[in-house]
Amino acid sequence: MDLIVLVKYVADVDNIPEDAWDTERGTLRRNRLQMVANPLDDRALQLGLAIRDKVAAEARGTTGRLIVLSMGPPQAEEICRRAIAHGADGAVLLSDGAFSGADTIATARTIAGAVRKMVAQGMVQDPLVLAGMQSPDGDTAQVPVQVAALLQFPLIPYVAEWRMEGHVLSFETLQPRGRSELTLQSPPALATVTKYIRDLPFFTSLVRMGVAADAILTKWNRDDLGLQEANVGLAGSYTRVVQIFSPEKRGRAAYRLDFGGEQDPLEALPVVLGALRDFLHTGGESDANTAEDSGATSSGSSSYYKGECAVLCERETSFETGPVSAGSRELLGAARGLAESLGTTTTAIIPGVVLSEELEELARSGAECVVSIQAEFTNAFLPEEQANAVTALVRERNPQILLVPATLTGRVVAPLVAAELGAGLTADCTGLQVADFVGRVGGKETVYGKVLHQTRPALGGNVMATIVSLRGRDNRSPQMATARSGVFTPVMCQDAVATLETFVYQKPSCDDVDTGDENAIDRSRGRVVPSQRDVNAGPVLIQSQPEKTNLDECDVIVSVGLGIGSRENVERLARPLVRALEKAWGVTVGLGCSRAAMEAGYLPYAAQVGQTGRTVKPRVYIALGISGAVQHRVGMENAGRILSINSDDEAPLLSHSDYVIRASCQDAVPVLIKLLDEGA
Amino acid sequence: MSNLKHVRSPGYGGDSPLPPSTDDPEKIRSYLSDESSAMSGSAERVFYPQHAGHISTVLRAAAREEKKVTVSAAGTSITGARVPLAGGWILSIERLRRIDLEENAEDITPSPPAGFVLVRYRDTSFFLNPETRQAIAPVGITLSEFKEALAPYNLVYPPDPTEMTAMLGGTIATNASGARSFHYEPTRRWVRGLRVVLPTGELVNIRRNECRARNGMFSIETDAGTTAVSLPRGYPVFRSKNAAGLFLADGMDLVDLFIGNEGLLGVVTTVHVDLVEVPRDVLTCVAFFRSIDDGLAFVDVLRHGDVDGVSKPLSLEYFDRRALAFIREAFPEIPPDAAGAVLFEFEYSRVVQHNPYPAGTVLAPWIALLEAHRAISTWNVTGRDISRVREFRHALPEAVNTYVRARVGKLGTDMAVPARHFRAMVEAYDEADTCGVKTVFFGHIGDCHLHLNFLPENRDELALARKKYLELARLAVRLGGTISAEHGVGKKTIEDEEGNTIPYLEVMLGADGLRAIHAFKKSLDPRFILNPGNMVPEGYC
Repeated sequence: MDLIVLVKYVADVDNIPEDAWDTERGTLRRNRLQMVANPLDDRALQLGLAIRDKVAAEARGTTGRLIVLSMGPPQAEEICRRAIAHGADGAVLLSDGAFSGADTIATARTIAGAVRKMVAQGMVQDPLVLAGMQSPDGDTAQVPVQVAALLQFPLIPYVAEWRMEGHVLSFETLQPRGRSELTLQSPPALATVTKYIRDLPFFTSLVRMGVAADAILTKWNRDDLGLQEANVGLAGSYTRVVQIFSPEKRGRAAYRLDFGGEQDPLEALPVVLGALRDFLHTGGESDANTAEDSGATSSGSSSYYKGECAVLCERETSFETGPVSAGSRELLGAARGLAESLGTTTTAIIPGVVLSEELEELARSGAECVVSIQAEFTNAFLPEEQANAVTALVRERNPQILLVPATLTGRVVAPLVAAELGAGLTADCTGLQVADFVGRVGGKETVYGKVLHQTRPALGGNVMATIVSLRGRDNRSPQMATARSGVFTPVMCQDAVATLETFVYQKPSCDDVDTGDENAIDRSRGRVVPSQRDVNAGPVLIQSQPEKTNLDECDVIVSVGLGIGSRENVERLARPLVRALEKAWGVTVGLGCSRAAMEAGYLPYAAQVGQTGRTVKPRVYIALGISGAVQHRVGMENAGRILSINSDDEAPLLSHSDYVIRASCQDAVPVLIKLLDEGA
Repeated sequence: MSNLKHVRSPGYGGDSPLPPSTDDPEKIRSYLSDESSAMSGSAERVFYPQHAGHISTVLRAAAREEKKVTVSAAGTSITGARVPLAGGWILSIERLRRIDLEENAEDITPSPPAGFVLVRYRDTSFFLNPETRQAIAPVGITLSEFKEALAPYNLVYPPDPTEMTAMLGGTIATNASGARSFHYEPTRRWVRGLRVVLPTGELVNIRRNECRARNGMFSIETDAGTTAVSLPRGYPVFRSKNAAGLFLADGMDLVDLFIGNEGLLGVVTTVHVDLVEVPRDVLTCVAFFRSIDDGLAFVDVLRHGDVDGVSKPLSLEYFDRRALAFIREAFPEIPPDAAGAVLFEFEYSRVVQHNPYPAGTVLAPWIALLEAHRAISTWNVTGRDISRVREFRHALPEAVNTYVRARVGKLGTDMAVPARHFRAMVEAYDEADTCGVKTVFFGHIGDCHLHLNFLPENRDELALARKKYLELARLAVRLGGTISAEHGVGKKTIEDEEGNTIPYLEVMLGADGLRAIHAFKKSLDPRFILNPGNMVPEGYC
């Protein structure tokens, strides 16, 4: 077994220089960005080196090789050599002007082509391909999954831990409820790596540096890979970027109240509390997100796509049982809006038997048709099985839109399905709209009527991009998008009914499956099976649920930043405020936090709101000492009303809040609690 | 104070008015101490001059009003140099930020000298000649602003005393150095010329190589005429890196008189400096050694630079085993058996554009040298990976400061000795904790300049540490070194063996040396208006 580690040359989104934004044009100056190796790819490399060395230590005949593989501009040579300095045995750099503008599927196709060539040339044998689960620039997590799909390599998603017993490699992987363990019975396979894997050391030896400096890299272009021009780069992409714009939204000045300065800000607290309580109890809807919610812009032209709007729903307790997740219901709401503007119907696809109360709930949430997928699924997180079933169903129903929750599962299943179907896929959308798109294909203008405009943050929330999916491989592929929970609004259709259909999925015998992709290779011999070991019983179970209340379900969220001062203050101020709000207002109140507060250990990751945490949409969001960088705001800016309590006048969140109390949390929160206890 | 508004300065600047000022105690308060917080002074008024004319007016007014004047830059000193112990006025250089204002004040056309262009950065401006790599800048610009403004030209001003919020003026007054001074030398080497307002209010434009001391005399051309000053006889000349006392030697350049004088002799308003190209690619290495001797022997080789293929490092720093233990938690990669670590950086050129590493042939002599000195392991980084090593460098001072904040503060040395006596000094540092106080030491080993920090637990230990401190200072002087290589002495005092409080500089120069400085200052500042108390306390002579 040899190892291939995929490394990507990406913008350092944590260190975007001030002058990178062209504020006049609203564009990002890409040449101002610092470029680095994707940090999660560093962890993949560290894992690969550890596996290679462990295999070597087991002294099983020949030592495995570790080759890094990167697609990027010529400058990406730097990160290839860096990987060699850290211990890689060689590097392949895929660089060609024809590769530029590639979306995830065109990128995956190029990388898959290179892996095939590396195998064909004997550079690697039976490779275990490793890659960071996602990169911070696009944050889609799609490329490694689609590479596995195109190569027909078994996928081991979200590796958090590994062990080798005898000659057997096992991987602990994250899944929606804890962890599971997958055993690699035989390579090839592809594994994606999470931040729980140890990072590369920050230094190397001088000897390795010299080796890296003097190494001869393998550089391949499109011709070397034998790929058609139409299959790579922009030409080979199923999606097109319509526009890129700044994420700065309109302020909330219409009803903004700012208390500080001359006047004692604490005196304003009763007024603010009263306004928030009235807003909650009059059912005021969030009115800050109209710009990006689902809907349509008027269009006289006929629809380019045909078919229903479908949502792949998830359940709360297990894959096949339990209530429909809140995120799925939100997507049904979005799909219903889109379907109405397209003059079509909304379908909920859901694994497992649908109980009558579940059918009713799906109908109330906007579904007109419910399709239950019934199959003999392995009781483990093997996403290929689910993806195969969904692919078969989509082939039969031909929806024009397929929405998938951007959960751990959905972010793997959706790219697998998209790769199988040859469909365009946009991850983590924050806005979905139907509008015409005028494309220029071969210099000729083509009008694509009523296509799905998918808006998503990119570059760590520093830019927003609007994307459309054009015809994929076979003219019947749906437009696919994923969205995180909390982004869209669920609908409530009283007394609605939905029809129920059942789709029975027969697992094909191995040889029946073929992608139909012109680049597909012979079915690989790789095999990954669920381990017998019960990982969740062990001490390593990770906390994947918020401590008490699910933030998605909360009417009110109290969220803390570093400004709260200390972990003790979270217990002394924030938690009592949560209890006081629940008692006084009779609503569900959750406790969230900023990334900085999470990293300071104030609250667990599950409570983190923002780009790298949860997207929440409570009716009222109370920010205690949160400065509110854009990465935090994308996670909460669709809240109905935002109250910021902060003594830092420079905090960006203040200008995005409805109510601002310029005071320290230590001063303001006890007053708030007292007012609530007195019945405010 | 009201009559001050009508003061007009004769001579230079014609009738330059007084600069903006304030007597608001709140505003004044921020000028009364420095980063050491060891002492605090008082003042009646703060002046904010914007050009040399303003300074001249203030100094002449001070002479008439019999006020003392203490000059203040960014306040990053840790010696009390800017603390106004004598009261009176404060002259803050923070608004000396625009070279075009400076020129206008003198009724010179604001156009830059031939070959120079006017560079504006934020609210600052300076003249730059990118071809000859020279800049003429006002002293209120901070080092970080200067660095950012020069970055687009791929140029840098080499003195880098770590504290980048320091102003250019402060670094001139202390002859600042820092980690890279091993390669670049301290500030002095980089100064081509200065504009100085003397304590009398006269203005001098000095260019290097135009005025030297002859027969123990300087003849200084000012805008008001010629002033002659004699250098004291028998005043010592220092050959190691030094920031303690005045630099006085026959044959010396007049420019050097105004660098590192802690503000005793004049107020510098603009500096004409040399710049260098930003080092393109730098390799940073932290090498761990099993014994101090191995580390010192390795450093000796680099200091002499007599190994083929081994270029002179940009910096050469040391961390002793106690220092490593202090940050081991944050850096578990530190080998457990390391007695010390040497950090060095060197510049290299790329073979090919996108190849970030030096070729194997460039690295081979370094690898051989490290092996010959039995290095346990090395950390090597280039490019953007350097940030973690930067964290390593900053972790120690931060850990030390956190540690002492919860106790009774730290006591840090700043001594340096000639290379041939360095081993004796290191032995003394290594044994310093036998006095019963925890210590760590680290610093600029390339310049034989380590900082030993005492970390006392309580007042009793602090007293022990002070005693040891004096012993070490005496040793440094005996070995022909200095009691302060980069911080300066400012208004620092120390208790001698008999328990008398004496000026710190007296340990090195003796009472005679201090009297010589006092007498020399008098020749330029007959009324002792400017920065009284630095080096020589008021009333000492």
